[in-house]
Amino acid sequence: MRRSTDAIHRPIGLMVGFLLPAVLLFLVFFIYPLINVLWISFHSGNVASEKMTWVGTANYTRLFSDNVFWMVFWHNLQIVIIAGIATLILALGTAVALTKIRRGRNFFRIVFLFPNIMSAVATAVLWSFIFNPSFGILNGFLRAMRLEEFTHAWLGEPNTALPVTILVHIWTIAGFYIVLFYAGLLRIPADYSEAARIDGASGWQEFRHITLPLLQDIMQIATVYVVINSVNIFALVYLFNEGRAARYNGVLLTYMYEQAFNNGNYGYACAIGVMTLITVLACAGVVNLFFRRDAVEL
Amino acid sequence: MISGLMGHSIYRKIAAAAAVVISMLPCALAQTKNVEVQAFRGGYGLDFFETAAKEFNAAHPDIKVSVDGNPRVWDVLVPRFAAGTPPDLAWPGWGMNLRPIIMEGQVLPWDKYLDQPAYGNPGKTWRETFKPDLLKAGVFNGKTYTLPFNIDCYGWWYDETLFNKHGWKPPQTYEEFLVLGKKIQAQNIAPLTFTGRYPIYLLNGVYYPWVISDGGIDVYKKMINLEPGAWKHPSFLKAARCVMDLKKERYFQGGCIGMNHTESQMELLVHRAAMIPCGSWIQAEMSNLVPENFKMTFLKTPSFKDGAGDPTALFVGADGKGWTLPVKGKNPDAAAEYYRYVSSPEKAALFIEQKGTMTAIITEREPKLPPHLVKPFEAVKNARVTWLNNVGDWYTPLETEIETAVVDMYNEVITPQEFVERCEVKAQEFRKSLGKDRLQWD
Amino acid sequence: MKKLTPARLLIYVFLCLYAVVVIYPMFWLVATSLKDSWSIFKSPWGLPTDFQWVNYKNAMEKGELAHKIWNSVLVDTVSLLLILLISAMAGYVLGRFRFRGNRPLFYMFLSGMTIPIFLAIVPLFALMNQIQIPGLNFKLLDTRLGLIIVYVAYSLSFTIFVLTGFFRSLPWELAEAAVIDGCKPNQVFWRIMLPLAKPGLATAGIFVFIGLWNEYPLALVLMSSEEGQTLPLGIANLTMSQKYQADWGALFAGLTIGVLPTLIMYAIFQRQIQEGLTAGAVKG
Repeated sequence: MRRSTDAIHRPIGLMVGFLLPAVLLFLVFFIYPLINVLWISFHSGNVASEKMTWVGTANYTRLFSDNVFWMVFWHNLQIVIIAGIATLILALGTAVALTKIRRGRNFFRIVFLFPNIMSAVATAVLWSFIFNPSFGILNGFLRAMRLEEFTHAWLGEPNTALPVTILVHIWTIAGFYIVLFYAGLLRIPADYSEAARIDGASGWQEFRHITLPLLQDIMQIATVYVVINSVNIFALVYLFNEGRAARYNGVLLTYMYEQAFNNGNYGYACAIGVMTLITVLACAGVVNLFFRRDAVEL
Repeated sequence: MISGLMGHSIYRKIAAAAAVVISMLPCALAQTKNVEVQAFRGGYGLDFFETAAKEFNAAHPDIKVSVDGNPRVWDVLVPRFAAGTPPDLAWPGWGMNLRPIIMEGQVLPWDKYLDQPAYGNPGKTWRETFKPDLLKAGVFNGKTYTLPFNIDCYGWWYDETLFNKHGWKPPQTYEEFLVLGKKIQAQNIAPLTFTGRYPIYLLNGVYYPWVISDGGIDVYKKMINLEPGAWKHPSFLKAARCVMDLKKERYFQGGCIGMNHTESQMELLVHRAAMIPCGSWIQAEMSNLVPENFKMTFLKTPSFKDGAGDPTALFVGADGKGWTLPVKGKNPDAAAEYYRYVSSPEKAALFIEQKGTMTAIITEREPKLPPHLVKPFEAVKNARVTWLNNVGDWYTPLETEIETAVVDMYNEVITPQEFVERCEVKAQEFRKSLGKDRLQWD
Repeated sequence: MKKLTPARLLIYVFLCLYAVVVIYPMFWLVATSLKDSWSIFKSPWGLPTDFQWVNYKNAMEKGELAHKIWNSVLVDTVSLLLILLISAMAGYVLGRFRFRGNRPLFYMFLSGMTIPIFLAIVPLFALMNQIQIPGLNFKLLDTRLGLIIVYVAYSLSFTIFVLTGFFRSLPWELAEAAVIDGCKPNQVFWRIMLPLAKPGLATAGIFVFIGLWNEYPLALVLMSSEEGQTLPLGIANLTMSQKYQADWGALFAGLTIGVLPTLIMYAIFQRQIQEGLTAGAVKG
């Protein structure tokens, strides 16, 4: 082990001093609020004025019988599942496509990643104009194609608000996964696929039996990220609805915000926050389980 | 660097600390009282209040009023009230859930100030300069918690030039509207559009007027008082059915459910829609875009020909929930003094002329009315019955439920029958959650 | 070997279509920012006929964007410097030395990358409202300093993760030689290891900076006063006012002002950004 000298020269003072700022900041401004969500969720009253009263599990009882909560929860699940699967397929497909071409790889990669880099505020406003029922370019396009009956008030109708939100969400995040998969694909030695070719494997067989298994670790990370990304969705929905209480595409975090900062129900909002945390952890757990089982099969 | 980080706030703190020190000195030195105003930045902007603050500061060297605002000012105010650091004076805006904050004792009643002499008129109390009906809207357990400034009446708006060109008459009754709508449709124009993303326009401008027209004002009052079974009155169902009938006949502009204020109002300006329910702020919001020959004209929401309600009934209410004095503001007296100045009859008349809307203040001189305000003034004068959306003003969570329900109905997720049933259930659930805090309006 | 076969042509068609779906909205955004409100509404597809540069002036004035840009630059730069410094120190210790608690600490920081902090916004808000710096009579809530602290805390996970890996991959012989030459542990870090870590710092730094430049939800709650608001809040405010005072030209100009710096940064640093994105996820 080349770090053998560390045992002799381990400078305890420096180690403590160097770690302290990071650990302190992280504990106070990250871990503590996270634990405090749980604590506040058993209270009611004004979170900032020490006038909290212990209400036990009342917030949770109310949560479980709150239709709006289950609705936004269901929206989040739909976003996780639909956006998750669609993003991964789109990104993997695009990344594979990128490896098949010679010219323009860099150009496309740079372009595809840009929505990731753009601010959520700009994305939301830009797309809400594209979806505008009257002068939005989407309806304009449909009218130009003489498809008048397919025009919608995209963000105002129950059947379109969530799908459209999911679509923009995919548009926003897909670039990251393209870059991720692309980097993973470049790792695969070229002779693997050549060997497969020589053995007479088709393109699909090669993809299924060589590329995918070799991408498994990246696939797992990507899936965890996409789940977190999709549970964490807030700014897009908040701004799509101009900050109003959203019902057709409302999500856990917008409902939490509404309860806390519009209605002043801080304890109830924290109960929603706790449920969001559980959702994140549960989804990540399911993903990891899935990949572990898969790994055994291989 | 530190001063850069803290910006002005550190100076303010130092100033405040200095002020404390100075005030402890035996010789009384003049100290500046800072008054922070947080106000809803809507179609009228805030320049009127900013200018008034400058004038006020010039006249009162010991007070410094600064006006700040935001189109979602309640997103700022709710946390600041919660944190115990509210501004000195707030105009909380329509989205504010003010009632719980008043219940917590965070708002100072205006009454002790209202009993003082009016600004520039020692013969009158300040209270007497407000129209009594409108003052009443801010009274809660016998105390006046919010003071109105500008007021609006809801109705429909149209372009008189367009109507004259086609020989259309503004419909006085629902029945006339049905007939006229067909003629308008024949010109490839939608008879009515509305701000669908903010369903309050559908409620205040179309639905509630028809409930009141069909059943009379008492039916509506039972509803705002959350009486059990109020929503079961047939007028609520009938008005809901009328809305849906019109939708089926394509009287509403397609897609308007997805439009915000200026977007839907723009539809009126470009003549893709003939009429729009809105308050009297419409001209101010669209001012730079209204074409020259466009004559913005008001029309009271058409009522049923044989309805039981008074046909002159009109929504007249304070804009943005009225002005509020937080208890924890640092200088409530100075803040009240500033508002007393802003709401003086002369200022009110100026506001009418500059901003093109009405105020809750009895003006001493006849203001020069902008053309679009002539008819709303008449309508207010002629109204034997006026009403308010008290649920929207005081019960924000219930209002959210009613608004989402009416949008669900409009989108045909639920039927009119299910709509009134859902509202009934939500109203009673909400009443239960209120307990003793329920308000009563007469 | 790679000829333009029909399959490859199909791939190009797909990639080009995707590129259009990304580029066209951007193009439309910039084009629309140069049109007047009336023509935006009447012919949303049309290109600007006479360039309405006044939209930019209106956006800057109405949204008070100059002040907001300054706030963003200030808050994000100070945050970034603190993040890099603090996480380089922590990453150095975690990557270099073996001690009991190394792994648990590392995983604690790592947890920050999986848990969205916004779900704890209520306690965070309360915390910022409680904390008063001793000697200074103000709360952290609603101050730029408060926002900086929160930004630092929530960005640490990522940079510590990246930099720990980076320090682990650095050649230790140099450091060891320095120790033998009598360098103090402190000096080893500042004089030898930190300069070596520059590429890692650059990758993490640019990536973090763009994230901060765009950050909206935390600022929305923790920075309500106008004087401290950052650019994303300013743009969002412009959007919210647009529904009460129709000036779509100014709104699109404001959006362009918000997007343009990111676009430029991206164009310059796209390699580092792509590295930053995949850092840790793809080894080698």
